[in-house]
Formats: sequence, structure tokens, C-alpha cells
Amino acid sequence: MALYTIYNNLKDKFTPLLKESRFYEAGVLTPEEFVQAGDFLVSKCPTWSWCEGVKEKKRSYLPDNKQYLITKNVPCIKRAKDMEYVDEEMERIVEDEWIETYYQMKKQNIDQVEEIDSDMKKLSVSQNNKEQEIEDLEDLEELEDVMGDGNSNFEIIDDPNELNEDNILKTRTYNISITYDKGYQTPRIWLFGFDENNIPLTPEQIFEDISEDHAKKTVTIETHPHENFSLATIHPCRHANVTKKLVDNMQATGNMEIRPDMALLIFLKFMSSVLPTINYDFTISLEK
Amino acid sequence: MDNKKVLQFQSLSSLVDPTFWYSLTKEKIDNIKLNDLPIDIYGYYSYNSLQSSKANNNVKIPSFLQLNSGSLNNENIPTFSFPMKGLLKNTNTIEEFQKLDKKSLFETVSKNIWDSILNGKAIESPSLLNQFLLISFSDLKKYKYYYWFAFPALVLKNSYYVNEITPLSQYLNENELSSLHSNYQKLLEIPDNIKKGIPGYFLLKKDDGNNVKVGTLSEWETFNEDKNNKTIVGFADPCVLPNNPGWLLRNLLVLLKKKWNVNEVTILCYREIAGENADLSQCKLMDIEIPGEELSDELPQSVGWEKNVKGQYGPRLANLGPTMDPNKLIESAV
Repeated sequence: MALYTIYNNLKDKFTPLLKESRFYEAGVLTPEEFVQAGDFLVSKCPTWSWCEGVKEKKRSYLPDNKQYLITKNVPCIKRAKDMEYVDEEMERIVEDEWIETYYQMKKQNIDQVEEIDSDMKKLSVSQNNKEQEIEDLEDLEELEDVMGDGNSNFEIIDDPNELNEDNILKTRTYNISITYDKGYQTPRIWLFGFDENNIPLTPEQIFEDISEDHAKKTVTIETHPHENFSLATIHPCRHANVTKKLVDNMQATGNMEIRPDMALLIFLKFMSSVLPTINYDFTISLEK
Repeated sequence: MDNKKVLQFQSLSSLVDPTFWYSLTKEKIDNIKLNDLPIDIYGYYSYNSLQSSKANNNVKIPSFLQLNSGSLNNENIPTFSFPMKGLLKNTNTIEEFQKLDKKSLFETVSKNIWDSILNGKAIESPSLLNQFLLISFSDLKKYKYYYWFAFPALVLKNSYYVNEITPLSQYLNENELSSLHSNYQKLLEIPDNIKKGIPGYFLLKKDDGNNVKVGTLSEWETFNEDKNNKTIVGFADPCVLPNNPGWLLRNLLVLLKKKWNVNEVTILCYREIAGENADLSQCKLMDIEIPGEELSDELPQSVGWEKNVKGQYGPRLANLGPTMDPNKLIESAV
């Protein structure tokens, strides 16, 4: 893995910047097109915003205040590994292992929220370090004395799950960022997750939210290009191909013009097959 | 008045971005070192339940109090968000963390809130109503962070009651809703307002010609001179429950009681779903009774420690070893 990563970083370092647009012929983006596509995404889906990242990692080919994109607190209700494909016909293969899933499938998953509890229990068993950590914390717990007497009289609702109404629940959430991958000249997605109690997920836990087809193949843990963390990321080696195919399809069948600034909406659309249960916002209609 | 019920508040939850722990670690190594005096930090919260409703078929998730890389310097407040000032007490050892005098730290923050009500500063800078406490121990060798938040809310001797709960869309027509939204946006557009948390708590009333007038708490005396329509007090509500307001209403109700002796008030729980067009369908009006007791200047009781993963009062642990440990980072560095 390390060698592979070093190779990628070298590729990133030594690939010259793409100057001329090759979006239609190769599905790739110039940095300028990435910024335009980011601006378009932010304007259409305001839950996305631009980030500066840490200063020492600033890329000069991107504007200072537009280094990468982020959306925070994206709910992820079910584990991808537990998803059952309800109807084979609801998906179609776009290219090899890339599967375009349909929105209805997501809806059905949300209807099954009651299964979450058992999912969570399974999780804690499979976690190797978790047990020890809980013991660490037990020593620190203080049940008495912090709230004074009779704190139940203070009109507090702590747990929305207890209310069990109106689709309100505690769930995993994700911060999703999109960076420009200079080596592959495509967007690249990075995941940081929190469990239902807002505690950071381990990389192993994050793998549970990536479709099985991809979890072990195209997802790696690498250092974020603009932050000092390593995060789960989906390898961009096929992004350009898939983008090109989707653009060709959409242009051929939908008699609409796809512009490079729509690239991130297309990207997020096919990423949703890799992250089928992470419901980020890309829901604007392209047919306008 | 058959519907009269004791008003319950949804507690606020914290969410700490790893960038906060990273910047705290760096600051501790470079500058703070072993000094463990409490320092000021800044979190933020939002009135948005965000994309959850839109993309998720009505699954609703409340907004959290969040910390990020800008929390040590009051920078990086995202759009649609308001700052919340906090006191951070970070200890050098786990033993010190365990032995912390939590009661007195909690009381320090409660007293800061109460003082801002007594001296009226909270009227000019309503963010002073929302101060929080964070106690932590950072195990810098293992990248493990033990932490515990408290969101002190001042408590009156008797309960609040809620009478009617009405969707805002029943009280305002569509034109009035969009007038409210655009006038509220004007409050949000002034950077100094955001810093002071002015749009966090605001006034509104129906005006002539489908207009909804929006004002600040400091305009209380003059906002509504011809009382043909009632004054409503709005607050940016992180909560998503249909019949309950969020935690951050509590200190406002105490302010209304103490400063202006308000006994009955209509509160707007301002909740917006982000999107191309503003969606105010989750906004609720609540007619609230504030108990009639006189408030002395003495610090009232306060509550608000956050519960941990097990639903008990206790600290939480964020283990960032897998993402921050340099030994793991090295292999991907060039």
C-alpha cells in the first residue's frame, strides 16, 4: 500500500497541470474548470462550501479561498454493507463495477430505520479497541453531583429516539470533502465520519459505509491534500472514464447540453453508487 | 387552554471536528505548553437542519454545537451559523481531569450568562446567552481526547408552560413568509451582527401590505408602537422536534422575565431547510407562559451537562490515533 501511495503522490507531483479543457474528450477537468464546477455546486446546493485548508498545504493553482469543497453533517442512516439490492432492475451497470443506483432504492433504505439499532450493536462487537476505551471512560464517569438533585425536573429531552416520531433519529454523519486531484485531473472524494453520538469513526467503521464492490478495492486511507489528517478516500483512477461515459450518455439520450461546470454534480451522482447510504445533497435537476 | 403542557426543551449536542483537536494540539505544543488556565474558545450552531430533510425523505437531524479549526480564534464561522462563546479548561493529566472542580467551572459560566442578563449586555450581544463550558484532557502521545461539554441554562423555580403550537405557515401567508425571510437575511448580512449573535434572537411582527418587520432585541421598547399585531420573539432553533424548542431558548426566556417582566410570549422557533429556495415549513410558533415569580439578582440554579455515549452524565472520548498519528501519516507523505 505504501508503495502504491508513494507512486500516486509522485504522479500528483510530476503530472503537469492541465491547461486546455479536455472535459468532453476525456472527462477530466482543468483546475479552472474544477473551481467553476465548485462554484456551480455551491450555488445550487448551498450545503456545500469552499474551504481554505491549512496554509502550508496551499496549492498555487487554486484560489486561496477555494482549495477544496466540503459538506458537513451528512446523515448516513444505514450501513452500505447491510444494504440489500431490492430489485436488480433498479440499477444498471455504467461501466464495469460502477453501478448507477436509483433514488427509489435510497428511499426504501430510509423506511427501514428500525433496523439501525441492531446494526449498531453488531458494530460494537466487531470493534477491537472499543471495549478498552469504554473501560477507560467508566473510571471517569460521575453519575452524581454534576446536575444537583432531581435533575429530571428540568424539562430536558435528551434522546430524540425515545420520542419515536416524525423521522427524527440519531445517526452516523459524514463530513465529505472534494479535492482536485492534479495527477488524475479529476475531483476526488474524502470521508470523515461520526457515529450516532458524534464520536469520530475509525477507518474500519467508515469502510462499512462504502459499497462492498469498492470498499476493499478503490478505497484507501491517505493524507488529505489540504489537512493534516489521513482519511478514507476513493481512488480517482476511473473517475475520468466514468464521467466521460455519463456525459456521453446524457448528451445522447437527454438532448441536453452538459457543461464542464456541471462536472461535480455528475461526479456526485456516480459517487452515490459507491456511498449508497450517505445522503449528501446533489439533488438539483440537470434537465433545465 | 386545554392544550397547556409543561414545556420541555431538546438538549443541545456537541460535535467536534477533528480539525479542532488538531489545532488545539498544535497550540498546546507551540504556545500553551503546560499552562492550564481556562481559555476562551468559540463554537457555532445553526438554525438549519440542513440537507437532511431535502435529500433524505424527511429524516431530520438537529443542528449541533460544533467546534472546528477556527474555534481557538473565533474564525471560520460557516454560513447560516452563529458563534457561541465557550470556556475551555484543558488539563495536563488524566488525574487532573478527573479531579477538576466541575461545579465551580460550571458556575463560572452560568454566572457569566447571568451577569450579561443583569447588566443588559446580552440584549446588545445575545450570543452572551449561549456560553458553554468544555473540559478536556488531550493525550498527545496517543491522540486521544477526553472531553465533556456543558451548556448551562438558568432555571426558574417553576416550569414554563406551552399553550398553542402553530406552524408559522398558518400565521403568515406566502408573501409574508418571504418578507420575513428576506428581512431576516438583512440582519444576517451584517458581519458585526453575526459576531454578536444578534440574529440568534430577534423580534418580528406582521406589518401592512404583506410585510413582516424584523428587529433586534435591543429595539424591544420601540419595536411595536401601534400594537395592532403582536410582537413575536424569534430564535434560531437548532432543534427539529415538532412540539419542543431547542435548549438555546432557555436563557432567552430568563432574560425576558428578568429585564422586561414578560409573563406570556409567542416564540418563533426559526428553522430553515437550506436549499435553492428558503423552506420555512419547519418553523413553529409557541405560546409560552413564563412562571410569575419575581426574580432577585441572585444567581439562579442552572443545568446543562451533556450526557455521554451511554446516556449518562460523563465524559466522551475521541480517539484520533487512526487519523492523526504521524507514524500512520508518514507512509503517505512524499
